[in-house]
Amino acid sequence: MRNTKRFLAASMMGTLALTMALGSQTMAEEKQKLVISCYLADDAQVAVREKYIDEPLQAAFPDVDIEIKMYTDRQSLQIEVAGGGGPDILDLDGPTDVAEFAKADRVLDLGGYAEQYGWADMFYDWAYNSCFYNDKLYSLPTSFEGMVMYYNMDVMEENGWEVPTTKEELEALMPQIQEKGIIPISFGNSNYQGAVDWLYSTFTSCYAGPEAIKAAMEGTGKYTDDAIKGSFETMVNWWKEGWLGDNASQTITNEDMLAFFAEGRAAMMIDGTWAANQLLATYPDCNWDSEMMPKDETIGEILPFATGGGYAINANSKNPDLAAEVMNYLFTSLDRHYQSINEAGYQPYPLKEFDLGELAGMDEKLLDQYNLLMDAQTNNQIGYCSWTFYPSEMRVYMNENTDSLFLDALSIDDYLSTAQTYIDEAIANNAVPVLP
Amino acid sequence: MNSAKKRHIVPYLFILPAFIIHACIVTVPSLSTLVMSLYDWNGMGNAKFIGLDNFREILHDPIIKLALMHNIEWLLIFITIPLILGFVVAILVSQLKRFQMFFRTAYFIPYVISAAVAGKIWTALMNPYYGVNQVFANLGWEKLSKVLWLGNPKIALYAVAFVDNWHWWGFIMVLFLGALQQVDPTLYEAARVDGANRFQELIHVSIPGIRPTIAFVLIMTVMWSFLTFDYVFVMTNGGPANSTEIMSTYIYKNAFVKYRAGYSNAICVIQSGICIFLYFFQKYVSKKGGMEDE
Repeated sequence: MRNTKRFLAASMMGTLALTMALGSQTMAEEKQKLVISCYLADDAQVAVREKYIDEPLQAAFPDVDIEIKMYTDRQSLQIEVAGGGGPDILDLDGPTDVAEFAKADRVLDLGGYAEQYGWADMFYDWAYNSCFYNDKLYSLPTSFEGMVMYYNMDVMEENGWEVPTTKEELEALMPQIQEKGIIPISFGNSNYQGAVDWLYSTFTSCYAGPEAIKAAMEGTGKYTDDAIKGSFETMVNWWKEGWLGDNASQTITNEDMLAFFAEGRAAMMIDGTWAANQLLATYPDCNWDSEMMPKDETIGEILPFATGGGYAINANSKNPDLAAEVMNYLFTSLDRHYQSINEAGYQPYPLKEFDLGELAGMDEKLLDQYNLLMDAQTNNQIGYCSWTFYPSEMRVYMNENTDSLFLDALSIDDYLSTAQTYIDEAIANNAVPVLP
Repeated sequence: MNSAKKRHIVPYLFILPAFIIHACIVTVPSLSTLVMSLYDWNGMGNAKFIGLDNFREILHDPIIKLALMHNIEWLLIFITIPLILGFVVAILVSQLKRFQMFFRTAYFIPYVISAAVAGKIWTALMNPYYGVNQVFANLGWEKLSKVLWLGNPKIALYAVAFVDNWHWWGFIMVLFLGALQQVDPTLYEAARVDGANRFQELIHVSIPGIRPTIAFVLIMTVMWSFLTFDYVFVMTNGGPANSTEIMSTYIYKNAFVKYRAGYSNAICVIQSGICIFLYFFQKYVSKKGGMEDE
């Protein structure tokens, strides 16, 4: 009996030791976890993302458990990060958004990683420099986009209208379009009030000129200067004439705006290059073209540029080195990137190595648009979109109050004076983004 | 411990768990709102103590004044229209001998539709290009077909209030109907014996009989009018040109769009203060007016 007991005790000890050994081995083999945030997407978008981001990442980092976590709204991400958690890599709205996280020390200074991976040489200077806040690099630009004028070519051709090349030609054309019962320029922001930044970024860049804006941001000029004021007057006048949004933009959603343009209820549309992919996917029969905004003769053709988003590393991340490595992979796996642009219409990264030749065979309209962006960059026709080049508080103020200009609830002078106070504050705090 | 003391303590022990939960999830966060209102905080990083600066800024913030005025307009709308409508319809429905449940259900249904869904449906209905305006145009009502229900700053607040009212009044009606059915029928009989007509029955029997319900509805309406958020947020988000901005949407924007959580907390404190004041003021008025027992 005693022997039996001894045998049982020894067996149990052995089993326990074996279990512990196996357990520790499992612990050692347990994968590192890395979480990347992403925006809310529908099933089709998720399927595309899985093909061009999730799966290649998992293949490139087989020892890492990479989760792409979708956030239904921006606030959830903000609250998670504020609470000391959140994903390792944050996909944020762009430099002005990243700046708020940087102010709160919620994202890491990427200076060390930039040196390690040579990021400064990888990106176009204008895009890379826009990611600095208080002289420190906090994010990397995830897309390269611009504001253009879209034309519904069926509407234009049916009515015998030529695509205008100057502001004067456009101003002469719009009343003719209106007379035919067609909205000259489709615009709506009822579901996203901030879409007005597409407009004022375009009007200030194209009709006040990049130099006036740069001077205002750098403190050598003012945002209240005549050139900028004139561009706002143009924008407000066009709205009041009904040329821009049919006097009803506050009741038109972004989706309606696109639909009105695609279905021929509107002849033109001021929108970002991102809309091209939406048009191709949702309205494949729409015969559209896109060009830079008709030029002001004294300024020339300008294309307002922006980086559409930015990857930043969460200060709470337990694996910041791994996060930087993953980010570097995303920006250096160019075959994957070209494929995602070609097949799924992803916006290109602003990389110097980016070769349009690799996009041969893709939709011609999209290719034309990328050529437009590259040409504007080469010819230094760069304008400034607020979500990349304006101080964040200034942008918030302008987004909330531009409708008040259209509806006569605020004067342009008061609006610009207040905007100027935000620039003054940003200059004092060294928080003005770097303008190319 | 003697048995009298034990008897004294036992009820408190029963409410202790609920009190602890309440303290953790209501009292402490409320106090933290009060504390954070004294800080400059963007909602994510370290907060900087600035004393009463946020409150000083509130005094000079034109949007706060505008939002407060809109909340007052909202209160005036909701303390009259749904209450009168709900009460009148409750009286009418209470007279029905058959199909009472059908009407009760039909009027109550909008209340169970979520604000997000109802708000989106009504936003589409109020769209000038494919909503009710097209129906008006087909009927030849030119002027009405050109109204921008949610785009005209002069009427946008009323358009949203109409939708919230559409959702709300059925609930009020059901509350009043329930209360009316609790009134002792012998009081009506006595009134009739004394020669009272229907209107006199209403004034002298029905209304005094549902006084506590009227007081409750008034208090809830007053407070909810200052706390309302959902329909405005879904339908206009405070626009166009701040014409539908109310305190709750402004609090939200400051916290999550402008990254000014400290300032947002200060507005919350003011909003709560207004609600508490209105609550006690309304209680006082109700007692004086005989709506509630002293």
